[in-house]
Amino acid sequence: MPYSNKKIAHFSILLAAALAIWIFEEFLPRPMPWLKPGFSYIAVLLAMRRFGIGAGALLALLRVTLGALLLGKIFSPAFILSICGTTTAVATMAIMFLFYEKAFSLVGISVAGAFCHIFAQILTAGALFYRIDAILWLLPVSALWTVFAGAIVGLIAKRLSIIKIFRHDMHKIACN
Amino acid sequence: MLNKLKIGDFIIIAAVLIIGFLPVLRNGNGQTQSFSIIMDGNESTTIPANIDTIVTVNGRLGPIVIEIKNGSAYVKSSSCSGKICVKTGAITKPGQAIACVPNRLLIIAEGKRKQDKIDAILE
Repeated sequence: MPYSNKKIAHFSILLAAALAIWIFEEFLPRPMPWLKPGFSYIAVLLAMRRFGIGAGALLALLRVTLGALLLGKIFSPAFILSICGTTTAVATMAIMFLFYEKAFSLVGISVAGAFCHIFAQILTAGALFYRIDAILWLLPVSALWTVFAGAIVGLIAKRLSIIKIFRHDMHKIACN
Repeated sequence: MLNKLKIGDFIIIAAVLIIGFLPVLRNGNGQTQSFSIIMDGNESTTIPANIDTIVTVNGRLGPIVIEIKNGSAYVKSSSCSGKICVKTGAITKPGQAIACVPNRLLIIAEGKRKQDKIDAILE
């Protein structure tokens, strides 16, 4: 698939926006220390819809890596947890995107991605301590939070995807 | 906008809530009997919940001060940078835990386990 300058520019703007939102969120107050709203996934959803599944996955992984570099957290335990969460979330979202518009809208994809992100993080934290059962009590409140935050992220992404520069259909680009 | 949701979205939300609340079924109610302090997943110290005490343990990065008071445990201060363990606050119910990932520290509230009962005696 040839990348036009326009496409690269749009992708970069989305990546910059995702990074800015991600770093800003670090300093926001949170309901629980490990729960973030995850608004940077708006950019991931838009990139998946606009440029295809691979570009969205690339954006999510670049966001984690560059974000950790900027905050000086690379290869710290927090970085390992977030890269595990993001990889799982992106894999789930990529599979669900195959059924985009048929079975799922952006809201469902966003909620599933949010839940997989936190679930993978909980399992990774459990694996680091070898006691997964002790960490699982975090799951109920996390599930409620992901439905709430994931739905808001999905609705914002859905609203933004109507705007002209995001409106192009994924299928047309995928067929190029 | 909400009317444009697909059937799959509702299935996903329902599935997330069901999976998320499965651990609730597993946790027993009741009293916390003791707190287990686990370092690096193996070294374990158990402290009864009815004793008020302050424990200092050495994690990978340095000392962590844990206070046990009125049947609850919380991390008073920690040598880690994120301080998530301190922000978690006090744990009281069996099955709850405080984790400090940078220090590889885990504090678990232990209750009476169902496994303690004898299922059968074989001869």
